[in-house]
Amino acid sequence: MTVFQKHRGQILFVAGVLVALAAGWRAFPVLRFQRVPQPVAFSHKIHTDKAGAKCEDCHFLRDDGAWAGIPAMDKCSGCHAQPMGTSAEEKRFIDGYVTPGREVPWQVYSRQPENVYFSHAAHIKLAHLDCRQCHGAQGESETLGPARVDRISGYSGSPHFQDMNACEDCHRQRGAANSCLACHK
Amino acid sequence: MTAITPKPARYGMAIDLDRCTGCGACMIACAVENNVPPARPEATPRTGITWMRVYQISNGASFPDTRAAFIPILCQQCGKDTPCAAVCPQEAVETDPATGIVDQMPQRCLGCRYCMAACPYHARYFNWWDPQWPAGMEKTLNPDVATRMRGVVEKCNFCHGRLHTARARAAAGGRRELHPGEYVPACVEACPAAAIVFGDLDDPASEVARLARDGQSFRLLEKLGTEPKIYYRTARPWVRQAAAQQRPASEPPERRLRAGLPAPQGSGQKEPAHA
Amino acid sequence: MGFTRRDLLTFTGGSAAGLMFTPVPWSLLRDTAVLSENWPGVPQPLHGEIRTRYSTCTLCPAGCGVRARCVGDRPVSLAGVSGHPASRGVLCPTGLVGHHLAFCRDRAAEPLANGRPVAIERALAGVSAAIAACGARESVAILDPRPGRAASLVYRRFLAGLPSGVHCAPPNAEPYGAFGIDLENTRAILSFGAPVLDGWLSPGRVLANRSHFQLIQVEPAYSRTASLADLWVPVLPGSEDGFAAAVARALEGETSDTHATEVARILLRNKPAIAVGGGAAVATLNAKLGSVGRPGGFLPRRDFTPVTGIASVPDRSIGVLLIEETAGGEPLPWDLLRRKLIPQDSVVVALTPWLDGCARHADYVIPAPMYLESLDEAPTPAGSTVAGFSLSPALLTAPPKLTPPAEFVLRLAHDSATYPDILKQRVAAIKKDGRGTVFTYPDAKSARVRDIPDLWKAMLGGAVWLDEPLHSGTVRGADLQVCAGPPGPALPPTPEYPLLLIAADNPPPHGSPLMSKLYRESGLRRPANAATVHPKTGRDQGLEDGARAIVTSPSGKFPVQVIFDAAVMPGAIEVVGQAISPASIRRA
Repeated sequence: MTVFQKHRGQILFVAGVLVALAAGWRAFPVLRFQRVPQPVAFSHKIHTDKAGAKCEDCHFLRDDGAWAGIPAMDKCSGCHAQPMGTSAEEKRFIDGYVTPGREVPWQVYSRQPENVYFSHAAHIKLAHLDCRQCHGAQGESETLGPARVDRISGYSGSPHFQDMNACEDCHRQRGAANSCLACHK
Repeated sequence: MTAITPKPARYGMAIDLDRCTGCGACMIACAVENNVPPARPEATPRTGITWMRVYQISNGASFPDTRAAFIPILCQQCGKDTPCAAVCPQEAVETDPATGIVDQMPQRCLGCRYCMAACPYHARYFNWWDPQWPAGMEKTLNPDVATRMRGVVEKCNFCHGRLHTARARAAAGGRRELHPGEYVPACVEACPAAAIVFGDLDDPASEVARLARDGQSFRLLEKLGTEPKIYYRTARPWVRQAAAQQRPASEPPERRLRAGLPAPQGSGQKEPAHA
Repeated sequence: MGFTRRDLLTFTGGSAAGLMFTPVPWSLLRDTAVLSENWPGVPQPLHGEIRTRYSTCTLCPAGCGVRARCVGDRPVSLAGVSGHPASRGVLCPTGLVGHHLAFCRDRAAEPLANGRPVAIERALAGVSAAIAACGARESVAILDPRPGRAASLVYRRFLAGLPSGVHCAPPNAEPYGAFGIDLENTRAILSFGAPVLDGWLSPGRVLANRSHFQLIQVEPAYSRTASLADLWVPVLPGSEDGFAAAVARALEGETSDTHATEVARILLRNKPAIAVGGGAAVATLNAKLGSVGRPGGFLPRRDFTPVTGIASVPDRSIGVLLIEETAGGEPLPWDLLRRKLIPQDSVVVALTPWLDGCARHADYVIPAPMYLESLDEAPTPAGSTVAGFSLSPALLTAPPKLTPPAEFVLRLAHDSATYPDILKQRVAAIKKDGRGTVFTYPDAKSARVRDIPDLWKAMLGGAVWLDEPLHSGTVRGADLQVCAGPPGPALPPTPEYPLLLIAADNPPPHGSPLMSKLYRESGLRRPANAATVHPKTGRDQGLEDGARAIVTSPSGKFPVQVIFDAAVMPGAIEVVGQAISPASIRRA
């Protein structure tokens, strides 16, 4: 009898364990998320370097504490009514969105369920957080990466925004509010 | 607690029953603010959702000496041994130490309704059906409050969406503390008779703290020891006596009706159409 | 030796054990939980920039200021306007959900002729032809629910150009005529059936002053106001005038009627006092109380033009009747209107947003924009002691095929002006007169109208204009004749109809389904099918509490559910929305 035949059951069991571990740790995290590209290949770097734009020009806090978020078409068409450069991507953008006045359906990297409440005002003005602490180097990036979208729930797959853990850890360390309705609606 | 959070408040209300005319503006403003859907035809007074609900009581006298009073009942935000928080198997209910508000998380609730049995004030409501709005009316939903699906319990949370908005506005101005009047629940704002006063019970300068200490103020079912934060005021002894009963002294006749009969012909009065 | 089923099971068992040490089960649990908590079938709110916009409520004559919280361009909630001179920061329950009316199912969506959809041009042509066909003996009438508007002027001008045109108003459209009520200084109100605490004049103003006046409610029904009044005097319907006369005598010292004496004592101790509601006898009572033209009483305004009540139009005289209905208006008495039409070939045109009002009886239905769907106006607020005006700017997008009533009449008059043009003219006239004060929001700042550079722009932002008080001129008590008529005819009970059917607490016919749901679930308002009777009356008729019954009156019968309430007058049946008449009730 070969070794395999002698310990057939145990070997197969262990093989199953190993395959599951590999699938669970390597394949599943990749398969779990859909990578959805942005509709327009926007480059933050070009806009900060060449156009001299600052973060607050597009992403700012309103007086009532609401966050302006991703800018709407009227912000882009202020400059891009005519082509500002020579790229084919910009031409595609102008023809497809600026001219017909269509809003770009940007993918939100931090997309949360409706019952989640996040206040940029509290985190910027009171906690004095820098944008990079949650959003990474997005503001200096050359391309917007694809958004990771959970295939089952449909919400954000970015490590930082997948669940409450990152938020709760920081809140606990700094002694910030930790009750349910502080962050939920 | 570090300096990152503001001084804890203990929000409460003082409701003047001598001013309340039973108009129901508070109920309506509450439902609009909190995305409560119009009812299904099957809903009854027991299965509907009324986070704020105005009850009618009478002085027990007969014609022509009968007089009515109206009592708006909402979650009493029990401050001690909160019954609903104690029984929830999901820990979906907790008291927020920063505001004293009893938080109900519908998204965490599994719908066992143990809390509804535990609440002595019947201030908790269950979503028996998925919410449905007439076509187009779902565009009037308030973005500051999440909608709930069927199978979960919900209740008043002192318009937490408005607290978020007030805090965000204060934060935009660099402030942690809220000015009095910056955060006002919908029912307080809507009351045409200004019968509801809202504020921080722990702030000795606030109107609500002054009213709560006043001799005319009382709370419902005080002997249960739940330390509710809603104070009711009246100068009429019969109102006070009726409100102290476990059930209102004379159950308003309308509450015994079941829905179902069509409106009389030619009455000019019609049940408004809804989906 | 192949791969057996046992091998497969062993491998699977190993995988399952291994999976426990991976994130897979926990992630799947969490993701499915998140998915199940945020079920796609539940509507989600739309997001956008939050803006505040101002308008005026036109659902009733109170003209309360409206502050709308809008997401993008859509109003999501309405509230009162702090510092508003007429409404004192208050919006009533109906006004709080006015932004839902546009989504009610019963609204008229397109022009109809004899129940079939037509193009608006066809409807215009048909109505014009009917008007042209009217001889001198058949008048053309426009029933105007809110006389005193700029739209009313459009109607009058059009009718003046016809051989026989009548501008008329429904009963009780202007209960106090040229007079406003100085609520701030009144100390006693003797109300003959007026719903003082339940939607009278401007609720904000009434409730702000509630602690200053004694309220005596004289009416047969145990209405909301009666249940909250300082004194309720239940009288039989039709005897209100007699009681008013008794009170007038009691004021002179005569003590034969104990109720009247008690009332007179209260009125004498709490001056100034006024009497509201009722007819000629109430006017005489007011003269005795000295309440006309004095502080705390009825004060005349500048702006009033009297209009004919539809009841005084001769019967069988109207050839073409155009009826305007407002979005929140009270149901019109169709039986009364029908009597005024010529017996044959009359044409009824309903200018209305609703399909279930007069549109049911109309030959032509011209759909009007719903509240908040198009620019509208709010004339002098009900009960105001000075003339006033504000605009009601649109907050919603109107669907196509709607025509504002005033514009329809302008088309009939071959006038190409639009309704906004008419409103601009009205605002220009106010500016030109140069009198009065303008309140602008959000700060409730007031300025003289002369100091506002662009009054039209200010009004589009929700500003309110108030005229100066009328100081000169003598007013006589007789000028107060234009009061609400007595509540009902005094038909005595008969053996066939031994009980008295009386109306109680008529809520507005059109409201958001959210409002009717809340009232139904809380029992705060009586349902339309409830008949409330005194327990003794109920038991005498063989009924018990909660029984199904049929109420029969000379005009028909209808099913009800009985409620026993010892507050109700014995011998009476209180039903919402019913006309007063003798009636009987028996088990169903």
